[in-house]
Order: sequence, then structure tokens, then C-alpha cells
Amino acid sequence: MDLTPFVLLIVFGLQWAIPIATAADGELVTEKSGILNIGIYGVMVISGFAAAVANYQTGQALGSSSAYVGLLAGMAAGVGVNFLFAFLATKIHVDQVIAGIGINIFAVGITYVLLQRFYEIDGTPISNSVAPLFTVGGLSQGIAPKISPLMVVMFVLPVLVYLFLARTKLGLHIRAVGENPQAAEAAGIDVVKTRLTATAIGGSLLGLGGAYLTVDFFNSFIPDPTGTVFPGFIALAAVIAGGWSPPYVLGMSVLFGACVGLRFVLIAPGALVYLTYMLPFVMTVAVLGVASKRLRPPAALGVPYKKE
Amino acid sequence: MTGALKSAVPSLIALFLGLAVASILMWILGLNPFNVFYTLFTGALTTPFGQSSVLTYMGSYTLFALAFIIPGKAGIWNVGAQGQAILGGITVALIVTFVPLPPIIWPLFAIIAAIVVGALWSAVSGVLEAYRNASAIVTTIMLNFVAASIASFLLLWVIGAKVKYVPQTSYLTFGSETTIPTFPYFNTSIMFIVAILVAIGSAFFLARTTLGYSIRATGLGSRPAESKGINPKTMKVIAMIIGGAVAGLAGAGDVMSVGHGCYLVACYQDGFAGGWFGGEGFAGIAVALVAANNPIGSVFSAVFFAILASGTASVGQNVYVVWAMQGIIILFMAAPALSRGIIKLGGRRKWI
Repeated sequence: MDLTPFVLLIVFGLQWAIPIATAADGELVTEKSGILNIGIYGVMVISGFAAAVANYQTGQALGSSSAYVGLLAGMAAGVGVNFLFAFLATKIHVDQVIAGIGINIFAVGITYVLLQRFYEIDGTPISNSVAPLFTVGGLSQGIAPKISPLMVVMFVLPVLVYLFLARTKLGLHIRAVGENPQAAEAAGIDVVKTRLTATAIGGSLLGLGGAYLTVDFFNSFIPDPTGTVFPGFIALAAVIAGGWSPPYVLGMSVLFGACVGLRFVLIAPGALVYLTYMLPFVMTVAVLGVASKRLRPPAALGVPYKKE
Repeated sequence: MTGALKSAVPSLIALFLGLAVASILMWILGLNPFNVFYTLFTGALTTPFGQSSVLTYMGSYTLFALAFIIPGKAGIWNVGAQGQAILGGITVALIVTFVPLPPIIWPLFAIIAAIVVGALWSAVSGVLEAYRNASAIVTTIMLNFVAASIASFLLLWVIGAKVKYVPQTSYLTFGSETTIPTFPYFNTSIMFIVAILVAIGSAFFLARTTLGYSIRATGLGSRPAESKGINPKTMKVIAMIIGGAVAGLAGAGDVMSVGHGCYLVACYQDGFAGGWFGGEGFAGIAVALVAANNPIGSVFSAVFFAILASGTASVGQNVYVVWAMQGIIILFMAAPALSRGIIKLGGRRKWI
């Protein structure tokens, strides 16, 4: 029996789990502080674009290490956009859902416009001249799927996020302001500052997820008006389906990654792919329908906080 | 009337600020914003193609905005008009392909079926929010993707469309006996007139009928609604169903209008990209916000966005410039001073 399809499914599934899990961890940290950013998809698109551009522009000078510049640029862009969102949410008290929708639409539009303006390419990706991070070759039948070093990050991150939230002072503060900002403020915690910090940390992970796709997986930026390239909404789903708990969120991300990765395994994608593609979203709706009363989202999630 | 004008002020401010920021961005990118807007408007309003596409866009945008506004009046957020419309569109495609009916009955039957499917799809989110405490914001976003997947599956598997490259297929065109009649002179389907009628009907329904009153009362809070003998849960589901029905109509209209057909996923004429996440469903939210959630206002707001969208072809840009602008305008709409005036959604809105 030829096991190649299964091996490929595992490899591609895990590869797709990387951006989902990283972004989901970022969104988890953000949401734990009570900030709800459904613009996560837009943040990923913008950071993916920034990463691809940085990678491309430094490719000549730095060779293959430009990929790391790309990753850093993506993380910086993620921090920037997420921080801007948190600033609007905490200082100006914008409606978080509307602002999130705005960021999503803006991100798709602006990256497309910039791509066209500066690279004079209409709808085709920027290709990087550099090699991918590193490649595991010779699996079988000449198929050489890449395994990214970020796979390690994917498995280590939930542990770090868990320890950070459960054991550190800042993590405790983040959870406190996400559950009950009034009480946290009374206990001497600066709610706004804590939320800004949490979204900045979360933003770096969102950025890493977006950057992984453009620097490593696709090795190019693909404009994404259909929302199928950058898995921001799948990451959002993984946070909910994983019940805001780092290990479960990772589990969901891996499962959802397999659902997405299947598309790349089948030679002729065919119609059935779409049935697996919708599984993450069906599962999330099912979890909400069946267990929404048992889910424990941060109590102050998405609720604007104003000092009395 | 003065009241309606007064409530339009905050959204006009947001619109103006959004356009100002968009102009600054264009300037940074080395474009002259005045030139861009001038060519955009003249391209949309003076050429025959521009005029007909303004009307086409306007019809869709109005319906998508109404699909957001009506549930919004009951305090429930329908971010899923896109998915509801996609399923409406695919229903039409299925009926046209498989159900042989006489000419006039055919389009009518297809449209009604699309409306029913859109309504049933949105009802899922309505029921989950009302009875299972699951925010419609989340479920409608998630169900958009499910709807797009189902539509893609049906197009490929059942209708047998061919894949060109993922995710888009060949173009299904319908015969003239199954399309919506054309409006003379403008060479566009009469959907824009239907949309205006639906907007007027919605305004009347919300303002003058008992059911409309109950929906608005629910939006002001569950407690006060209950004290008037209104069941807020039922009202939320009903409002959501009506919103989904309008979205289903929008989907049918897009697919059945002249020259339109059905792409895999997109289900729309080219330019209306994005069945999965983006596209008109989200543009509809921008339209609704600029209209301050007023059904009649949504027609005017839709005209504005339609001019932007159809004018982009004349400035040699694609529609994504408009997406960027819409995004900025929506961001300004989220500002509290403005959104308080614009979104009079009652009750404590919760996530999950």
C-alpha cells in the first residue's frame, strides 16, 4: 500500500497548521486581555505583504538570510497594526467589531494597490529570489515537501503562551483585565497599558503567521481578495473551538491545518476538497451551538473599558 | 425629515474623513487624488457602460445593506449576507440547470427559492444567537465560509462546472428565458428598481407595522421588549430570517442579471470578486453604516459606493482601490462619537 498520500497529508497538514496555530496563539493572548480583534485576517495579510517585500528587497544583499528579515518585518508589521487597533479600542473606544471588519477590507485593498503600484504586477505574486528556510527532500517519488523550522515554534508556542499567561505577573495582569477590568484597575493594574502590551505581543505572533506564508510556504505574496490564502478566520475559529486554552487551540489548529492542507495533497483537487475546507467552520459553529454555555471566553472580551 | 438629516451628519463626517485619508494615501502613492476622483466620477456617470454598471452595483449594494440593517434593528449582527447570497445564487444555478419550467414561472420560482434558502441559512445564526447564546457575529462569519464551500462543491460536483484554477470555474450563462428582464436604455437588469422597492418596503415595514415595531423594540433591549409583551428571541430570529431573505434575493439578482452567470465560489460577474470572505456582502456593511442604518438612506449610500466601484475601471485601477477606501471609511465609522449616532443597536452586544 502506498503511504505517500498519508505522509503528504501529515506534512501539508502540519505546514498549514503553522500559520493557523501561530496566529491563533497571537489572537489568544490578545483576546485574554479583553481586546477582540476580528481584523486578525487583515493583520495577517498586511504582515504577510510586509514580510514578502522585506524578503524580496533584501534578497540581493543578504541571500537566503533575507527570509529571516522577512519574518522580522512581518512580526513588526503585525505588532504595528495590532497595536494601532488596540490603541483605537482602548483610547478612542472604537467599536471593535466594526473596526475589525474595516481592517480586513482595508488590508486586502491596500496590499493589492501597493503591489500594483510598486511592482507593476496585476494579481501576480512577488516571487522571492531566495531559497526557502530549509527543505527536507527525498520523501518518496521525488516529492520533497518542505518542513519549516517554524514547525518547532508551533509546538513550543502553546507551552510558552500557557506559562506566560499562568505564571508570569504580566500574564496574570492580562487575564485580570480580560475578566474584570474594573476590579483589576482597583487592584492597581493599568488596564489600558496591559491591553496595549497584550495586543502588541499577540500582534507579533499574528505577523509571524502571516510572514510564514509569504516567506516560507508560498515564497511569494499572493493577493487574497477571497480570504483563502491567509487563514485568519480559521485561526479565529481555532481560538473559539479550542475554548481559549493553549493546548486545545493547538490541537484544533493541527486538525484545521489538515483540512486546509488536503487541498494540496490531492493531485486533482475536485469537488470533495471543499467539503473538508468547510470543516473548521462547521465545527466552530457546532461547538458554539452545542457548548456555548460551557465555553468560558474572557468575560470582558470586546467590551470597551472606560475609567470611571 | 430634519431628524433624518440630523442623523446623517455623523456618517457624512465619517465618509468625508475616510475619503480625506484615502486621498492622502493616494497622494503618498504618487497619484493625484483630484484626478482620480474626477476620472472615477466621469467614468462612472458619463459612459454608457459606467451608467449601467452603477445601476447594477447600486441594486446589489442596496440589498446587501438591507440584509445588514434589518437584523441590526433587532440588535443582531448579520455579517453573513455574503454567504446567504452565495447560497441564493447557487440555488438559482441548480434550478436553471435541472428544473424545466415555463419561461415566466422559471425566474420567479428561482428567485423565490433563492430567497427561501437565504432565509433558512440566516435562520441558523438567528436561532443560535437567540436560543443558544452564540453571537451571530461569529456564526455568520463562519457560515460565510461554509456557504462558499457548499456552493463550490455543488457547482463542481452537481452542476459539473470545470475548474480552471482554484478557486474559480468556468462561467455558467443562463438563457434569456431565465434571466431578469432588462431595463431599457441602460442595458441593465431591473434589479436596481426591485432593490429600491425593497428599501422602501423595509422602511415602511420597520416604521409602520406591528412586527417592525416589535423588531425595533427588541433592538432597544430585551427587558423593555418583554415588558411590552414581545418575545425578543422570536423577534431576533424573524429579523435575521428577513435579512437572509433579502440577501438571498441579492444573490439571485446578481446571478440572473443580463450577461451575468455563475463562477465557482464567486457566483458573480467579474469584478465582484470574492465569495469566501470579501465582496459585496462586506461592501453592504459599509453602505449600511454610511446610511446610518436607514433603509431609504441605504439607496443613496449605495449609489455613492456604486459610483466608486464602477468608476475604478475608468481610472485603470481594479476594484481593490475601493476596498481600501471602504476599509478606511468603516474604520472611521467605528469611532464612538460617530458610531453612537450611526449604529443604534441596542442591548449589550456580546461576543460568543
